[in-house]
Amino acid sequence: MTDETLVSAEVLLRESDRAAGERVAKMLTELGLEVLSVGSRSVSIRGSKQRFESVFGCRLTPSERVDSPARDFGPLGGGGFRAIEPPKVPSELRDEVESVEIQQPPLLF
Amino acid sequence: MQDDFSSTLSIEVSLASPPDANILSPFSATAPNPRASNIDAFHAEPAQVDHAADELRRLGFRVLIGSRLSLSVEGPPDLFTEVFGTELEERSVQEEREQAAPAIPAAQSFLAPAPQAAWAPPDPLSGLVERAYIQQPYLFFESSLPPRVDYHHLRVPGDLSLLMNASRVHRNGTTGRGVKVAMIDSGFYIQHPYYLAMNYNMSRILGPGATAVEHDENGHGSAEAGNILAIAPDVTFIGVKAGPNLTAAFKETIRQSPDIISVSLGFDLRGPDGLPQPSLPGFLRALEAEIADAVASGITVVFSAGNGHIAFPGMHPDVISAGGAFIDEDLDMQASDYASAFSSVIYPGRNVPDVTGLVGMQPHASYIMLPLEPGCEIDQDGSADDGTGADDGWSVISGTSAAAPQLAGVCALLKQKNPGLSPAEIKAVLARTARDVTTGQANEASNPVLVGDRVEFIPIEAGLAADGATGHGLVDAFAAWQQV
Repeated sequence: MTDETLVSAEVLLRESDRAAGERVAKMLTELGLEVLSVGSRSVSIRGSKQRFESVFGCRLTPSERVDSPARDFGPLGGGGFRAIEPPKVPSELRDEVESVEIQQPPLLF
Repeated sequence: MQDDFSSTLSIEVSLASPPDANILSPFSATAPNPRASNIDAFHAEPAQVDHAADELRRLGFRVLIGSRLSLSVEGPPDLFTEVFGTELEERSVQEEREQAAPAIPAAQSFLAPAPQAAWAPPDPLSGLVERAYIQQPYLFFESSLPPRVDYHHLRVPGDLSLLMNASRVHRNGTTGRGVKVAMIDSGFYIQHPYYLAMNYNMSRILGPGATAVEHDENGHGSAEAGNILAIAPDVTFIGVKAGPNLTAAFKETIRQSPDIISVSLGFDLRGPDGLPQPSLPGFLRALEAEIADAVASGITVVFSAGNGHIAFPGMHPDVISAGGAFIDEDLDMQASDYASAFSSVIYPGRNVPDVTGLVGMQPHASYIMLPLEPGCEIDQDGSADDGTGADDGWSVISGTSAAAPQLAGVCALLKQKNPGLSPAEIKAVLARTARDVTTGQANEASNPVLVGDRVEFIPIEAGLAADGATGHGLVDAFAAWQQV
Protein backbone atom coordinates (compact mmCIF):
# COMPACT_ATOMS: atom_id res chain seq x y z
CA MET A 1 0.00 0.00 0.00
CA THR A 2 1.39 3.40 -0.94
CA ASP A 3 0.12 6.94 -0.83
CA GLU A 4 -0.90 7.68 -4.39
CA THR A 5 -1.24 11.43 -3.85
CA LEU A 6 2.50 11.85 -3.30
CA VAL A 7 4.99 12.63 -6.04
CA SER A 8 8.15 10.49 -6.25
CA ALA A 9 11.34 11.68 -7.89
CA GLU A 10 14.99 10.87 -8.35
CA VAL A 11 17.41 13.74 -7.87
CA LEU A 12 20.37 12.90 -10.11
CA LEU A 13 23.81 13.92 -8.87
CA ARG A 14 26.39 15.42 -11.21
CA GLU A 15 29.03 12.99 -9.99
CA SER A 16 28.89 9.62 -8.30
CA ASP A 17 29.59 10.75 -4.75
CA ARG A 18 27.94 9.41 -1.63
CA ALA A 19 28.93 12.45 0.46
CA ALA A 20 27.38 14.76 -2.12
CA GLY A 21 24.23 12.66 -1.95
CA GLU A 22 24.08 13.14 1.81
CA ARG A 23 24.53 16.92 1.47
CA VAL A 24 21.83 17.13 -1.17
CA ALA A 25 19.52 14.98 0.94
CA LYS A 26 19.93 17.34 3.88
CA MET A 27 19.07 20.36 1.75
CA LEU A 28 16.06 18.64 0.24
CA THR A 29 14.79 17.79 3.71
CA GLU A 30 15.15 21.46 4.67
CA LEU A 31 13.08 22.31 1.62
CA GLY A 32 10.24 20.18 3.02
CA LEU A 33 10.68 17.02 0.96
CA GLU A 34 10.90 13.51 2.34
CA VAL A 35 14.13 11.69 1.52
CA LEU A 36 13.47 8.00 0.91
CA SER A 37 16.92 6.81 -0.04
CA VAL A 38 20.39 8.21 -0.66
CA GLY A 39 22.63 6.61 -3.23
CA SER A 40 25.95 7.51 -4.78
CA ARG A 41 24.26 8.56 -8.02
CA SER A 42 20.87 9.84 -6.96
CA VAL A 43 18.64 10.74 -4.05
CA SER A 44 15.09 9.36 -3.92
CA ILE A 45 12.52 11.82 -2.62
CA ARG A 46 8.80 12.30 -2.36
CA GLY A 47 6.42 15.03 -1.35
CA SER A 48 3.06 16.56 -2.04
CA LYS A 49 2.31 17.90 -5.52
CA GLN A 50 2.12 21.42 -4.13
CA ARG A 51 5.50 21.15 -2.40
CA PHE A 52 7.13 19.77 -5.55
CA GLU A 53 5.74 22.50 -7.74
CA SER A 54 6.87 25.10 -5.26
CA VAL A 55 10.41 23.78 -4.69
CA PHE A 56 11.20 22.88 -8.30
CA GLY A 57 9.18 25.55 -10.13
CA CYS A 58 7.35 22.96 -12.20
CA ARG A 59 3.78 22.03 -13.06
CA LEU A 60 2.62 18.46 -12.57
CA THR A 61 -0.44 16.56 -13.67
CA PRO A 62 -1.56 13.00 -13.03
CA SER A 63 -0.01 10.83 -15.72
CA GLU A 64 -2.15 8.85 -18.10
CA ARG A 65 -1.01 5.54 -19.45
CA VAL A 66 -0.19 5.35 -23.14
CA ASP A 67 -2.50 2.90 -24.90
CA SER A 68 -0.68 -0.39 -25.18
CA PRO A 69 -1.63 -3.82 -26.47
CA ALA A 70 0.70 -5.39 -23.88
CA ARG A 71 -0.65 -7.37 -20.91
CA ASP A 72 0.15 -6.66 -17.27
CA PHE A 73 -1.34 -6.35 -13.80
CA GLY A 74 -1.30 -2.55 -13.90
CA PRO A 75 0.97 0.04 -12.28
CA LEU A 76 2.33 -0.55 -8.81
CA GLY A 77 0.96 1.99 -6.36
CA GLY A 78 -1.25 4.09 -8.59
CA GLY A 79 -0.91 6.31 -11.60
CA GLY A 80 1.88 8.73 -10.74
CA PHE A 81 2.51 12.21 -12.14
CA ARG A 82 4.14 13.73 -15.20
CA ALA A 83 5.59 17.18 -15.65
CA ILE A 84 3.80 19.71 -17.86
CA GLU A 85 6.66 22.09 -17.09
CA PRO A 86 9.81 20.18 -16.11
CA PRO A 87 11.36 20.55 -12.67
CA LYS A 88 14.16 23.11 -12.35
CA VAL A 89 17.05 22.52 -9.99
CA PRO A 90 16.98 25.13 -7.18
CA SER A 91 20.02 27.43 -7.23
CA GLU A 92 21.39 26.14 -3.93
CA LEU A 93 21.56 22.59 -5.39
CA ARG A 94 22.90 23.36 -8.86
CA ASP A 95 26.54 22.65 -8.07
CA GLU A 96 25.79 19.05 -7.17
CA VAL A 97 22.48 18.19 -8.85
CA GLU A 98 22.16 17.55 -12.55
CA SER A 99 18.41 17.09 -12.82
CA VAL A 100 15.22 16.12 -10.99
CA GLU A 101 13.28 13.30 -12.62
CA ILE A 102 9.66 12.60 -11.70
CA GLN A 103 9.18 8.85 -11.29
CA GLN A 104 6.47 6.79 -12.91
CA PRO A 105 5.21 3.68 -11.13
CA PRO A 106 6.44 0.42 -12.71
CA LEU A 107 4.06 -2.05 -14.29
CA LEU A 108 3.55 -5.46 -12.77
CA PHE A 109 4.42 -7.90 -15.55
CA MET B 1 -14.21 -10.27 0.66
CA GLN B 2 -16.45 -8.65 3.27
CA ASP B 3 -19.98 -9.93 2.79
CA ASP B 4 -22.74 -8.02 4.52
CA PHE B 5 -23.49 -9.80 7.79
CA SER B 6 -24.90 -6.77 9.64
CA SER B 7 -27.58 -5.08 7.57
CA THR B 8 -29.22 -8.31 6.40
CA LEU B 9 -29.34 -11.34 8.64
CA SER B 10 -29.25 -14.88 7.34
CA ILE B 11 -31.49 -16.98 9.55
CA GLU B 12 -32.04 -20.70 9.70
CA VAL B 13 -35.51 -21.44 11.06
CA SER B 14 -36.12 -24.91 12.50
CA LEU B 15 -39.63 -26.22 12.23
CA ALA B 16 -41.56 -27.19 15.34
CA SER B 17 -42.97 -30.63 15.92
CA PRO B 18 -46.74 -30.57 16.44
CA PRO B 19 -47.58 -32.55 19.59
CA ASP B 20 -49.73 -35.06 17.72
CA ALA B 21 -47.42 -35.51 14.72
CA ASN B 22 -44.92 -38.01 16.12
CA ILE B 23 -42.04 -36.05 14.58
CA LEU B 24 -38.69 -35.89 16.37
CA SER B 25 -37.14 -32.55 17.27
CA PRO B 26 -33.36 -32.21 16.86
CA PHE B 27 -33.49 -29.96 19.95
CA SER B 28 -35.12 -32.56 22.18
CA ALA B 29 -32.89 -33.90 24.91
CA THR B 30 -34.30 -37.38 24.38
CA ALA B 31 -34.16 -37.50 20.57
CA PRO B 32 -31.20 -39.17 18.83
CA ASN B 33 -28.86 -37.11 16.72
CA PRO B 34 -30.07 -36.86 13.13
CA ARG B 35 -28.36 -39.45 10.92
CA ALA B 36 -29.06 -40.84 7.48
CA SER B 37 -30.61 -43.88 9.14
CA ASN B 38 -33.18 -41.92 11.17
CA ILE B 39 -33.59 -38.60 9.39
CA ASP B 40 -37.06 -39.48 8.09
CA ALA B 41 -38.31 -39.27 11.68
CA PHE B 42 -37.32 -35.56 11.78
CA HIS B 43 -39.15 -34.57 8.58
CA ALA B 44 -42.02 -32.12 8.94
CA GLU B 45 -45.12 -32.47 6.81
CA PRO B 46 -44.91 -30.45 3.56
CA ALA B 47 -48.05 -28.54 4.53
CA GLN B 48 -46.35 -27.37 7.73
CA VAL B 49 -43.30 -26.23 5.78
CA ASP B 50 -45.50 -24.22 3.44
CA HIS B 51 -47.51 -22.76 6.32
CA ALA B 52 -44.39 -21.66 8.21
CA ALA B 53 -42.94 -20.13 5.05
CA ASP B 54 -46.16 -18.20 4.41
CA GLU B 55 -46.23 -16.83 7.95
CA LEU B 56 -42.58 -15.76 7.80
CA ARG B 57 -43.21 -13.99 4.50
CA ARG B 58 -46.25 -12.26 5.98
CA LEU B 59 -44.11 -11.02 8.87
CA GLY B 60 -41.66 -9.49 6.39
CA PHE B 61 -38.92 -12.09 6.00
CA ARG B 62 -37.60 -13.23 2.63
CA VAL B 63 -37.75 -17.00 2.34
CA LEU B 64 -34.77 -18.23 0.33
CA ILE B 65 -35.36 -21.95 0.35
CA GLY B 66 -37.08 -24.57 2.47
CA SER B 67 -36.81 -28.25 3.20
CA ARG B 68 -38.68 -30.62 5.50
CA LEU B 69 -36.14 -29.80 8.22
CA SER B 70 -35.75 -26.02 8.15
CA LEU B 71 -36.32 -22.78 6.27
CA SER B 72 -33.52 -20.44 5.19
CA VAL B 73 -34.72 -16.84 5.43
CA GLU B 74 -33.30 -13.32 5.39
CA GLY B 75 -34.36 -10.14 7.12
CA PRO B 76 -33.10 -6.93 8.71
CA PRO B 77 -31.97 -6.94 12.37
CA ASP B 78 -34.89 -4.76 13.51
CA LEU B 79 -37.40 -7.25 12.12
CA PHE B 80 -35.68 -10.17 13.84
CA THR B 81 -35.68 -8.29 17.16
CA GLU B 82 -39.32 -7.36 16.83
CA VAL B 83 -40.63 -10.75 15.70
CA PHE B 84 -38.65 -12.93 18.07
CA GLY B 85 -38.68 -10.52 21.01
CA THR B 86 -34.95 -10.63 21.56
CA GLU B 87 -32.04 -8.19 21.59
CA LEU B 88 -29.01 -8.44 19.32
CA GLU B 89 -25.41 -7.53 20.01
CA GLU B 90 -22.41 -7.17 17.71
CA ARG B 91 -19.70 -9.76 18.13
CA SER B 92 -16.17 -9.85 16.77
CA VAL B 93 -15.17 -12.85 14.71
CA GLN B 94 -11.56 -12.36 15.78
CA GLU B 95 -12.38 -12.61 19.49
CA GLU B 96 -14.45 -15.71 18.95
CA ARG B 97 -11.67 -17.33 16.91
CA GLU B 98 -8.76 -16.76 19.29
CA GLN B 99 -6.17 -19.52 18.82
CA ALA B 100 -8.23 -21.15 16.07
CA ALA B 101 -6.90 -22.75 12.88
CA PRO B 102 -5.88 -20.40 10.04
CA ALA B 103 -8.90 -19.14 8.15
CA ILE B 104 -10.26 -15.99 6.56
CA PRO B 105 -13.72 -14.99 7.88
CA ALA B 106 -16.26 -13.69 5.39
CA ALA B 107 -16.85 -10.73 7.74
CA GLN B 108 -15.08 -9.34 10.78
CA SER B 109 -18.22 -9.02 12.94
CA PHE B 110 -21.77 -10.28 13.07
CA LEU B 111 -25.00 -9.78 15.03
CA ALA B 112 -26.33 -12.41 17.40
CA PRO B 113 -28.72 -12.54 20.38
CA ALA B 114 -27.05 -11.67 23.65
CA PRO B 115 -26.40 -14.66 25.93
CA GLN B 116 -29.53 -15.53 27.89
CA ALA B 117 -31.56 -13.00 25.88
CA ALA B 118 -35.34 -13.35 25.95
CA TRP B 119 -36.94 -15.39 23.16
CA ALA B 120 -40.62 -15.00 22.37
CA PRO B 121 -41.86 -16.00 18.92
CA PRO B 122 -45.20 -14.40 18.06
CA ASP B 123 -48.49 -16.29 17.98
CA PRO B 124 -48.59 -16.78 14.18
CA LEU B 125 -45.41 -18.87 14.43
CA SER B 126 -46.44 -20.79 17.51
CA GLY B 127 -46.43 -24.49 16.77
CA LEU B 128 -44.69 -23.88 13.45
CA VAL B 129 -41.21 -22.66 14.42
CA GLU B 130 -39.07 -24.12 17.16
CA ARG B 131 -35.86 -22.12 16.85
CA ALA B 132 -34.40 -19.37 14.66
CA TYR B 133 -30.60 -19.10 14.45
CA ILE B 134 -28.77 -16.15 12.95
CA GLN B 135 -25.99 -17.55 10.79
CA GLN B 136 -22.43 -16.49 11.62
CA PRO B 137 -19.87 -15.52 8.96
CA TYR B 138 -18.44 -18.58 7.31
CA LEU B 139 -14.71 -19.11 7.05
CA PHE B 140 -12.47 -19.58 4.07
CA PHE B 141 -9.97 -22.11 5.28
CA GLU B 142 -6.50 -21.29 4.07
CA SER B 143 -4.89 -24.27 2.48
CA SER B 144 -1.36 -25.27 1.61
CA LEU B 145 -2.89 -27.26 -1.25
CA PRO B 146 -4.13 -25.40 -4.32
CA PRO B 147 -7.65 -25.84 -5.68
CA ARG B 148 -8.19 -28.12 -8.67
CA VAL B 149 -8.82 -26.59 -12.08
CA ASP B 150 -9.78 -28.53 -15.17
CA TYR B 151 -7.21 -27.37 -17.72
CA HIS B 152 -3.50 -27.87 -18.30
CA HIS B 153 -1.45 -25.92 -15.80
CA LEU B 154 1.69 -26.30 -13.70
CA ARG B 155 1.87 -26.65 -9.94
CA VAL B 156 4.64 -25.49 -7.63
CA PRO B 157 7.07 -26.73 -6.69
CA GLY B 158 7.09 -30.06 -8.54
CA ASP B 159 6.02 -29.26 -12.09
CA LEU B 160 8.22 -26.18 -12.36
CA SER B 161 11.22 -27.90 -10.88
CA LEU B 162 10.80 -30.86 -13.21
CA LEU B 163 10.30 -28.88 -16.42
CA MET B 164 13.14 -26.48 -15.70
CA ASN B 165 15.28 -29.57 -15.04
CA ALA B 166 16.06 -28.35 -11.53
CA SER B 167 14.96 -31.55 -9.79
CA ARG B 168 18.06 -33.36 -11.01
CA VAL B 169 20.18 -30.56 -9.58
CA HIS B 170 18.42 -30.92 -6.24
CA ARG B 171 19.12 -34.67 -6.29
CA ASN B 172 22.79 -33.79 -6.57
CA GLY B 173 22.62 -31.76 -3.38
CA THR B 174 22.39 -28.26 -4.84
CA THR B 175 19.30 -26.40 -3.68
CA GLY B 176 20.47 -22.79 -3.46
CA ARG B 177 21.61 -23.03 0.16
CA GLY B 178 23.71 -20.08 1.24
CA VAL B 179 22.73 -17.95 -1.76
CA LYS B 180 20.86 -14.72 -1.04
CA VAL B 181 18.16 -13.86 -3.57
CA ALA B 182 16.26 -10.57 -3.32
CA MET B 183 13.03 -9.92 -5.17
CA ILE B 184 11.39 -6.51 -5.65
CA ASP B 185 7.64 -6.60 -6.04
CA SER B 186 4.20 -5.63 -4.72
CA GLY B 187 4.62 -7.35 -1.37
CA PHE B 188 5.13 -10.79 0.09
CA TYR B 189 2.49 -12.75 1.97
CA ILE B 190 5.01 -15.19 3.39
CA GLN B 191 2.54 -16.38 6.01
CA HIS B 192 0.60 -18.23 3.29
CA PRO B 193 0.05 -21.84 4.44
CA TYR B 194 1.88 -23.09 1.35
CA TYR B 195 5.01 -21.12 2.20
CA LEU B 196 4.76 -22.10 5.86
CA ALA B 197 4.32 -25.76 4.96
CA MET B 198 7.34 -25.65 2.66
CA ASN B 199 9.42 -24.16 5.48
CA TYR B 200 11.29 -21.84 3.12
CA ASN B 201 13.84 -19.37 4.45
CA MET B 202 11.86 -16.21 3.64
CA SER B 203 11.94 -12.66 4.96
CA ARG B 204 10.60 -9.36 3.71
CA ILE B 205 11.30 -5.67 4.13
CA LEU B 206 9.67 -2.42 3.11
CA GLY B 207 11.19 -0.55 0.21
CA PRO B 208 11.27 3.25 0.45
CA GLY B 209 7.77 4.69 0.42
CA ALA B 210 6.01 1.36 0.86
CA THR B 211 3.86 0.48 3.87
CA ALA B 212 2.21 -2.54 5.53
CA VAL B 213 4.98 -5.10 5.14
CA GLU B 214 2.76 -7.96 6.28
CA HIS B 215 0.34 -7.51 3.37
CA ASP B 216 0.46 -7.85 -0.39
CA GLU B 217 -2.66 -6.01 -1.49
CA ASN B 218 -2.06 -6.82 -5.15
CA GLY B 219 -0.74 -10.37 -4.77
CA HIS B 220 1.84 -10.23 -7.57
CA GLY B 221 4.98 -10.55 -5.47
CA SER B 222 3.59 -13.24 -3.18
CA ALA B 223 2.73 -15.35 -6.20
CA GLU B 224 5.88 -14.85 -8.24
CA ALA B 225 8.13 -15.63 -5.27
CA GLY B 226 6.87 -19.20 -5.56
CA ASN B 227 8.77 -19.52 -8.84
CA ILE B 228 12.17 -18.84 -7.29
CA LEU B 229 11.58 -21.22 -4.41
CA ALA B 230 10.33 -24.02 -6.64
CA ILE B 231 13.67 -23.95 -8.45
CA ALA B 232 15.97 -23.14 -5.53
CA PRO B 233 14.15 -24.14 -2.33
CA ASP B 234 16.96 -23.43 0.13
CA VAL B 235 17.94 -19.90 -0.89
CA THR B 236 17.83 -17.10 1.61
CA PHE B 237 14.92 -15.16 0.18
CA ILE B 238 14.42 -11.45 0.84
CA GLY B 239 11.27 -9.80 -0.52
CA VAL B 240 11.42 -6.04 -0.94
CA LYS B 241 7.98 -4.48 -1.07
CA ALA B 242 8.29 -1.58 -3.49
CA GLY B 243 6.62 1.79 -3.42
CA PRO B 244 5.96 3.61 -6.70
CA ASN B 245 9.66 4.49 -7.14
CA LEU B 246 11.43 1.41 -8.51
CA THR B 247 14.81 3.13 -8.44
CA ALA B 248 14.51 3.72 -4.71
CA ALA B 249 13.46 0.10 -4.17
CA PHE B 250 16.41 -1.12 -6.25
CA LYS B 251 18.86 0.94 -4.21
CA GLU B 252 17.41 -0.44 -0.99
CA THR B 253 17.70 -3.96 -2.39
CA ILE B 254 21.39 -3.52 -3.18
CA ARG B 255 21.91 -2.59 0.46
CA GLN B 256 20.77 -6.07 1.43
CA SER B 257 23.92 -7.43 -0.30
CA PRO B 258 22.15 -10.08 -2.37
CA ASP B 259 23.87 -12.44 -4.77
CA ILE B 260 20.92 -12.25 -7.16
CA ILE B 261 18.13 -9.74 -7.73
CA SER B 262 14.92 -10.74 -9.50
CA VAL B 263 12.46 -8.12 -10.70
CA SER B 264 9.18 -8.83 -12.48
CA LEU B 265 8.33 -5.15 -12.98
CA GLY B 266 9.18 -2.65 -15.65
CA PHE B 267 8.14 0.11 -17.99
CA ASP B 268 6.66 0.00 -21.48
CA LEU B 269 8.86 2.35 -23.55
CA ARG B 270 6.26 2.89 -26.24
CA GLY B 271 5.76 6.41 -27.47
CA PRO B 272 2.41 8.11 -28.06
CA ASP B 273 2.74 7.07 -31.72
CA GLY B 274 2.83 3.42 -30.66
CA LEU B 275 6.46 2.97 -31.72
CA PRO B 276 9.48 2.29 -29.48
CA GLN B 277 10.84 5.38 -27.76
CA PRO B 278 14.20 6.30 -29.36
CA SER B 279 16.01 7.09 -26.12
CA LEU B 280 15.76 6.28 -22.45
CA PRO B 281 13.46 8.70 -20.61
CA GLY B 282 15.23 10.84 -18.04
CA PHE B 283 13.32 9.36 -15.15
CA LEU B 284 14.94 5.96 -15.80
CA ARG B 285 18.55 7.13 -16.07
CA ALA B 286 19.22 6.69 -12.36
CA LEU B 287 17.81 3.16 -12.45
CA GLU B 288 19.90 2.36 -15.52
CA ALA B 289 23.04 3.42 -13.65
CA GLU B 290 22.09 1.58 -10.44
CA ILE B 291 21.58 -1.66 -12.38
CA ALA B 292 24.96 -1.26 -14.08
CA ASP B 293 26.53 -0.60 -10.67
CA ALA B 294 24.92 -3.69 -9.18
CA VAL B 295 26.10 -5.97 -11.99
CA ALA B 296 29.59 -4.43 -11.88
CA SER B 297 29.73 -5.29 -8.19
CA GLY B 298 28.97 -8.95 -8.94
CA ILE B 299 25.21 -9.09 -8.39
CA THR B 300 23.35 -11.10 -11.02
CA VAL B 301 20.24 -9.13 -12.01
CA VAL B 302 17.27 -10.75 -13.76
CA PHE B 303 14.40 -8.73 -15.23
CA SER B 304 11.24 -9.78 -17.02
CA ALA B 305 11.28 -9.14 -20.78
CA GLY B 306 7.66 -7.97 -20.70
CA ASN B 307 4.34 -9.35 -21.91
CA GLY B 308 4.14 -7.53 -25.21
CA HIS B 309 5.84 -4.53 -23.59
CA ILE B 310 8.90 -2.85 -25.01
CA ALA B 311 10.28 -3.38 -21.59
CA PHE B 312 12.90 -1.55 -19.62
CA PRO B 313 14.87 -2.69 -17.63
CA GLY B 314 14.24 -5.96 -19.47
CA MET B 315 16.26 -4.48 -22.36
CA HIS B 316 19.16 -3.26 -20.17
CA PRO B 317 22.27 -4.93 -21.64
CA ASP B 318 23.64 -5.94 -18.24
CA VAL B 319 20.59 -7.87 -17.02
CA ILE B 320 19.48 -11.39 -17.84
CA SER B 321 16.33 -10.71 -19.81
CA ALA B 322 13.71 -13.39 -19.11
CA GLY B 323 11.35 -14.31 -21.94
CA GLY B 324 8.82 -17.11 -22.25
CA ALA B 325 8.43 -20.64 -23.58
CA PHE B 326 5.31 -22.78 -23.16
CA ILE B 327 5.23 -26.54 -22.62
CA ASP B 328 1.87 -28.18 -23.21
CA GLU B 329 0.40 -31.36 -21.70
CA ASP B 330 2.17 -33.47 -24.36
CA LEU B 331 5.47 -31.83 -23.40
CA ASP B 332 5.65 -30.05 -26.75
CA MET B 333 7.47 -26.75 -26.47
CA GLN B 334 6.89 -23.47 -28.29
CA ALA B 335 7.57 -19.78 -27.84
CA SER B 336 4.99 -18.11 -25.60
CA ASP B 337 2.87 -15.68 -27.59
CA TYR B 338 2.36 -13.78 -24.33
CA ALA B 339 6.04 -12.92 -23.78
CA SER B 340 7.93 -10.01 -25.35
CA ALA B 341 10.65 -10.27 -27.96
CA PHE B 342 12.19 -7.27 -29.67
CA SER B 343 15.40 -5.58 -30.71
CA SER B 344 16.10 -2.57 -28.56
CA VAL B 345 16.27 0.79 -30.30
CA ILE B 346 17.86 2.35 -27.24
CA TYR B 347 20.65 -0.22 -26.97
CA PRO B 348 21.64 -1.13 -30.55
CA GLY B 349 22.41 -4.82 -30.92
CA ARG B 350 20.51 -5.75 -27.77
CA ASN B 351 17.94 -8.47 -28.49
CA VAL B 352 15.31 -9.31 -25.88
CA PRO B 353 15.08 -11.92 -24.37
CA ASP B 354 18.35 -13.67 -23.56
CA VAL B 355 16.74 -16.94 -22.51
CA THR B 356 13.31 -18.03 -21.34
CA GLY B 357 11.47 -19.50 -18.42
CA LEU B 358 8.03 -21.10 -18.47
CA VAL B 359 5.20 -18.75 -19.47
CA GLY B 360 1.61 -19.40 -20.54
CA MET B 361 -0.15 -18.45 -23.74
CA GLN B 362 -2.62 -15.74 -24.67
CA PRO B 363 -5.15 -14.57 -23.77
CA HIS B 364 -4.50 -14.75 -20.01
CA ALA B 365 -1.34 -16.85 -19.64
CA SER B 366 -3.15 -18.85 -16.94
CA TYR B 367 -0.41 -21.41 -16.51
CA ILE B 368 1.13 -21.68 -13.05
CA MET B 369 -0.91 -22.17 -9.85
CA LEU B 370 0.66 -19.81 -7.33
CA PRO B 371 -0.09 -18.77 -3.73
CA LEU B 372 -1.03 -15.22 -2.79
CA GLU B 373 -2.86 -13.28 -0.09
CA PRO B 374 -6.50 -14.45 0.04
CA GLY B 375 -8.82 -11.83 -1.38
CA CYS B 376 -6.06 -9.66 -2.85
CA GLU B 377 -6.56 -7.94 -6.21
CA ILE B 378 -5.21 -10.74 -8.38
CA ASP B 379 -7.06 -13.40 -6.37
CA GLN B 380 -10.33 -11.56 -6.92
CA ASP B 381 -9.80 -10.38 -10.49
CA GLY B 382 -8.25 -13.60 -11.74
CA SER B 383 -11.00 -15.85 -10.47
CA ALA B 384 -13.20 -14.92 -13.41
CA ASP B 385 -10.78 -16.59 -15.82
CA ASP B 386 -8.64 -19.09 -13.95
CA GLY B 387 -11.17 -21.31 -12.20
CA THR B 388 -9.97 -20.55 -8.67
CA GLY B 389 -11.98 -18.82 -5.94
CA ALA B 390 -11.90 -15.07 -5.38
CA ASP B 391 -10.76 -15.50 -1.79
CA ASP B 392 -8.93 -18.81 -1.77
CA GLY B 393 -5.37 -17.53 -1.81
CA TRP B 394 -4.47 -19.13 -5.15
CA SER B 395 -4.35 -17.90 -8.74
CA VAL B 396 -3.23 -19.41 -12.02
CA ILE B 397 -1.03 -16.77 -13.61
CA SER B 398 2.31 -16.41 -15.37
CA GLY B 399 3.73 -13.92 -17.87
CA THR B 400 7.43 -13.12 -17.91
CA SER B 401 6.85 -12.15 -14.28
CA ALA B 402 7.09 -15.87 -13.64
CA ALA B 403 10.05 -16.42 -15.94
CA ALA B 404 12.37 -13.94 -14.21
CA PRO B 405 12.18 -15.58 -10.77
CA GLN B 406 12.49 -19.03 -12.34
CA LEU B 407 15.75 -17.94 -13.94
CA ALA B 408 16.85 -16.26 -10.72
CA GLY B 409 16.33 -19.62 -9.02
CA VAL B 410 18.55 -21.33 -11.58
CA CYS B 411 21.19 -18.61 -11.11
CA ALA B 412 21.11 -19.39 -7.37
CA LEU B 413 21.79 -23.08 -8.05
CA LEU B 414 24.79 -22.13 -10.15
CA LYS B 415 26.05 -19.67 -7.54
CA GLN B 416 25.87 -22.30 -4.82
CA LYS B 417 27.98 -24.70 -6.86
CA ASN B 418 30.45 -22.04 -7.96
CA PRO B 419 30.24 -18.87 -5.83
CA GLY B 420 32.88 -17.15 -7.92
CA LEU B 421 30.76 -16.96 -11.06
CA SER B 422 30.34 -13.45 -12.42
CA PRO B 423 26.98 -12.21 -13.75
CA ALA B 424 28.36 -12.40 -17.30
CA GLU B 425 29.53 -15.98 -16.79
CA ILE B 426 26.13 -16.98 -15.44
CA LYS B 427 24.37 -15.37 -18.38
CA ALA B 428 26.72 -17.11 -20.79
CA VAL B 429 26.26 -20.57 -19.32
CA LEU B 430 22.47 -20.20 -19.26
CA ALA B 431 22.57 -19.29 -22.95
CA ARG B 432 25.04 -22.02 -23.87
CA THR B 433 23.04 -24.81 -22.26
CA ALA B 434 19.46 -23.68 -22.96
CA ARG B 435 17.07 -25.96 -24.83
CA ASP B 436 16.35 -24.71 -28.32
CA VAL B 437 12.75 -23.59 -28.84
CA THR B 438 12.06 -23.99 -32.53
CA THR B 439 8.37 -23.23 -33.01
CA GLY B 440 5.87 -20.55 -32.12
CA GLN B 441 6.15 -16.80 -32.00
CA ALA B 442 6.51 -14.14 -29.33
CA ASN B 443 3.92 -11.50 -28.47
CA GLU B 444 3.60 -9.35 -31.57
CA ALA B 445 2.68 -6.34 -29.44
CA SER B 446 6.34 -6.00 -28.46
CA ASN B 447 7.43 -5.44 -32.06
CA PRO B 448 5.55 -2.48 -33.55
CA VAL B 449 6.80 -1.44 -36.96
CA LEU B 450 5.86 1.55 -39.11
CA VAL B 451 4.51 0.30 -42.44
CA GLY B 452 3.68 3.25 -44.66
CA ASP B 453 1.84 5.54 -42.28
CA ARG B 454 0.46 2.77 -40.07
CA VAL B 455 1.86 0.95 -37.07
CA GLU B 456 1.74 -2.80 -37.58
CA PHE B 457 2.71 -5.53 -35.17
CA ILE B 458 5.13 -8.06 -36.63
CA PRO B 459 5.50 -11.25 -34.59
CA ILE B 460 9.01 -12.55 -34.10
CA GLU B 461 9.23 -16.28 -34.83
CA ALA B 462 11.15 -18.99 -33.06
CA GLY B 463 13.44 -21.16 -35.15
CA LEU B 464 16.47 -23.40 -35.11
CA ALA B 465 19.34 -22.19 -32.88
CA ALA B 466 19.23 -18.77 -31.23
CA ASP B 467 16.27 -16.68 -32.38
CA GLY B 468 14.53 -13.43 -31.63
CA ALA B 469 11.47 -14.98 -29.97
CA THR B 470 13.15 -16.98 -27.22
CA GLY B 471 16.79 -15.94 -27.37
CA HIS B 472 18.86 -19.05 -26.70
CA GLY B 473 15.81 -20.99 -25.56
CA LEU B 474 14.39 -22.49 -22.38
CA VAL B 475 16.86 -22.62 -19.52
CA ASP B 476 18.00 -26.11 -18.51
CA ALA B 477 19.07 -25.97 -14.86
CA PHE B 478 20.83 -29.34 -14.88
CA ALA B 479 22.75 -28.74 -18.10
CA ALA B 480 23.89 -25.34 -16.81
CA TRP B 481 24.78 -26.76 -13.39
CA GLN B 482 26.96 -29.43 -15.00
CA GLN B 483 29.04 -26.78 -16.74
CA VAL B 484 29.94 -24.57 -13.79
